[in-house]
Amino acid sequence: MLALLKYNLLSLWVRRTTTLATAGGIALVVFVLGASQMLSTGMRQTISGAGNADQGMVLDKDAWTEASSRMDHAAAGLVAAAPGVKRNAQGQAMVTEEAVAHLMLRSVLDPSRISTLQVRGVSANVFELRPEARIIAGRAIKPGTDEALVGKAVLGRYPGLRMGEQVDFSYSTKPTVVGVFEAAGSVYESEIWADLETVRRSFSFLANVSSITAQLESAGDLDGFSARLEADQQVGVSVASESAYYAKVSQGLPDVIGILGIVETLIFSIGAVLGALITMHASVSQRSREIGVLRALGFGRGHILLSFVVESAALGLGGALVGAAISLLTPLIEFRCMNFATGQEVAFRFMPSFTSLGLAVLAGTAVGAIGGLVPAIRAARVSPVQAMRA
Amino acid sequence: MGFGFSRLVVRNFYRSPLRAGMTVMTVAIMLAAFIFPRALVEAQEEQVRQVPNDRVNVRPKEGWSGSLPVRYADQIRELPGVRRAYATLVPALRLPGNEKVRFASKATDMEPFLAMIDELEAPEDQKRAFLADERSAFVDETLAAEQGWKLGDRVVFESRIYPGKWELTIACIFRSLREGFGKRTIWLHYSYLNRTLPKDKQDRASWIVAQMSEPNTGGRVAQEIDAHFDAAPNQTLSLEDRVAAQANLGNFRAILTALDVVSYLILVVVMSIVGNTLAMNVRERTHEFGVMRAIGFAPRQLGLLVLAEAGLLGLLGAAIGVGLSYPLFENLVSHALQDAMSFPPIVIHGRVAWLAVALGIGLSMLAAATPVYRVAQLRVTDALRRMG
Repeated sequence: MLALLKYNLLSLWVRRTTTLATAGGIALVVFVLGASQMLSTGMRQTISGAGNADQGMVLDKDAWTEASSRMDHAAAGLVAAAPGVKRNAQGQAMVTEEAVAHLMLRSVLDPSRISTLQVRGVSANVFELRPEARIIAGRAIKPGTDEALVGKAVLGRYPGLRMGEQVDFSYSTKPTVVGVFEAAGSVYESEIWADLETVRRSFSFLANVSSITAQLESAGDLDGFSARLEADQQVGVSVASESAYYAKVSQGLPDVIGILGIVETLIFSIGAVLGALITMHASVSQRSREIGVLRALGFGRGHILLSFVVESAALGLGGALVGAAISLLTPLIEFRCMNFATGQEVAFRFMPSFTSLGLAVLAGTAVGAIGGLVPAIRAARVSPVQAMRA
Repeated sequence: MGFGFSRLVVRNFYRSPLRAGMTVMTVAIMLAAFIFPRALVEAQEEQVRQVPNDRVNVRPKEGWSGSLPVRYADQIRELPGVRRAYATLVPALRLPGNEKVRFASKATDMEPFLAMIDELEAPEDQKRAFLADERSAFVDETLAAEQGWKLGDRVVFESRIYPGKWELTIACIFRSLREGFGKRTIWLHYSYLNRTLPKDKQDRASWIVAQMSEPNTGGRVAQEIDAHFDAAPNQTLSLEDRVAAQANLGNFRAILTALDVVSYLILVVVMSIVGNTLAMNVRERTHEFGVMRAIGFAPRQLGLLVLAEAGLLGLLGAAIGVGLSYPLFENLVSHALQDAMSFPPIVIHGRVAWLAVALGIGLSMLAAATPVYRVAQLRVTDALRRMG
């Protein structure tokens, strides 16, 4: 049997050009599948990476996202007094208010493109409550001044988003950029942060804020915290853990990418299977004499069938490995797109995962095997005497 | 040559009909696959192309969730450079108890609206009837046909965001001349809706549209409007309509680009499959080509023969692929997406179909380049020596 397989693999080598062309088609199938799955995973990671399970996020009752939430900032007092809220070394409740809005800016790199960026008006204690964020250049904002911090992912890509430049919030408010921050690859890196008052003034917040986030003693305290606040009829809020909020807004876009990826993969697979079919079919026709010899030597139909299927599967595997290798280059690319759920543009990355790549390689091998099945059956039916006579 | 030549080309198809058939089918499927993302990208870009260049869209600074005081429309009309303006409030209407039928609804100042918006076509008498009756509706013809509404019908609506019911008379049915604008939309009179709202929700607008006195001055006027309202509690964000449409497109630019790239990769696959088939054909017929050369065919003629075969493969594949695309995408897939994700309907422009055909033929011939070259280079004696 092994000797037979050696013949099959050598045949692939002999017909290098057609082997390469067919393997190329399969490489494409695996690349599309692998890359789209990696992007989908990366998107979910970027969005949900911003949320902590032990932080409670308080939003206006009817709001779906932070940017669409408006509630009276007097609610902050209520939140600080709720059960389960952690206190810092100075004994203060770890609670922060934020005003979240959207700003449309024209891309510097591609002037025909306008992006919607999320602006977050933050309180003085923002870094205490958001430990994943840290300044990597410049300094933090001085509270009460018109200054701004720019997330690493949007630095330099839009007008005004460079150290020392001014960001156009409104006709009368143009804060100066004093620092750059990163946030563990989460969505915060695609945001612009400024003083709470600056944002409230420029985006029609009046006496409102978007969200009040509280650090809890532990994730288990969320229920008590949540119950107390939601019970208060006067204020009308909804409470969820930060991680639950980000899990909610990580739906939609990653699913769409995943589905598009699978649809395109199926399309390419059809092309690849048919391509493999045409190639193996011609190959078997040309090799009928060789097959006749093999049969005359004593190899049974079953062995011939199996060996040809293995040949096309090997073709598939080779192409699949190349496709997988190329898809491993995608983490070098940044994919900027609007997260439908929140309406803000985010920079996403491709996240490699061994399971998805492994499955993609398996799919590629299967494509090769399926394409070669019918020709393999034909090969098995070759009659040795007639073949050698031809 | 002429007639004999084309007979040769066609006859060669029958020599291995299975292989020729499979190649044609593969080309057909792959071209249909090419058409799908291309049609999506084309549709988006066409929408932007058709946006008029004399309008500015004024929306609340805080985004779609906010609203502006409706009196802003009057103030905007007074600004220099502005010819007309209308305010719109979105009542989010639906048919009572029926969540499945999806349509858009807008309550607008209809006089300036009808004067400005010439891309919605309707008979003059119907427009007049609509303007005369405050409780009437201005309805898209597709929606009216789907719901079986006729002129004069009274239809009751509810709102997803306001309490109450509204009975509207269908006074005017329009046809949209601009891609994507007005599709499945009902317009009603702002004054009527506003009167019937609770006190705390009255006199608001979701957005305001202003028409410029001169085209292409929108950028400057947009800035003036924003400056005018900057000190007020409700700030505005004004964009030229063209720019706003581009912004919408920009949101999905990355995905559209990815789909674009995919559609070109599909073409590469088509080329490789056709090239592969032709290479196999040529290899097998080397001996015959030798005979043909020996009896007097010039190398160029043999090359043309192979090229013509490639072109025929491409043409057949393209014809079948395009033929498949229309029912598959415009009907099946489009309806499925509309139902599942409220996608806009998929339309395949003639431009896209012709592109697919041209690419099918052109790329097939391009893929034939190497085999054609090989055939033309054949030395008669070598070819005759080869046995099959």
